[in-house]
Amino acid sequence: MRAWITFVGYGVIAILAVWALAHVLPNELALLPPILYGLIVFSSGIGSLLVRKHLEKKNRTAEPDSIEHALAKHAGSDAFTYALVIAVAFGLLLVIEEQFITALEVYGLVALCIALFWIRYAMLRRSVNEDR
Amino acid sequence: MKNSIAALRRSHGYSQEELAKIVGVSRQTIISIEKGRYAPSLALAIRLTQHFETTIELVFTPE
Repeated sequence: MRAWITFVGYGVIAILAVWALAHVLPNELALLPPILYGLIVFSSGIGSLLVRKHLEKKNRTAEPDSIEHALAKHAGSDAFTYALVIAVAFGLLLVIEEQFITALEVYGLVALCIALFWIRYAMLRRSVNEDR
Repeated sequence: MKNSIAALRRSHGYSQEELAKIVGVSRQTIISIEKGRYAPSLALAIRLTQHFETTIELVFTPE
């Protein structure tokens, strides 16, 4: 938790610093603040990943035998099912609104997701059955 | 899954965090196992029982 607070604190300070800088910079350097904002967004993405990895290592929550790992897998499989249901419902809405091409694209993506599931399933099944 | 992990841990004088560190899992995993809300993997059950120098069938009993 402390790592996250520190991370968010640094992010807020960086945004405020760029915001303050934007008000004092001459017009010739008007391009600098957007670049700095972009840098903040990019580094916060990398930073949040690093903080998460650091906390997972510290608390051992990413270990395969930890409950968090099992729960994350379970949540992932549930979320996949929900995403499919939402996508099918969205496709149905598009059909009702007569946007057939977009609906076809949505159902194509649903079919691709289902195909990916079966491919992954077949690969895992083969890996547990193959002779070493 | 019922188990005697909590009693074993206390008898050896470990905290939940210490035991978690020894077997390489999170503290929440030990808490959940002790409460019987999480059935550990076979590998983790072996690590736990080996550490306490006992056997799986003596520690874990199906409900």
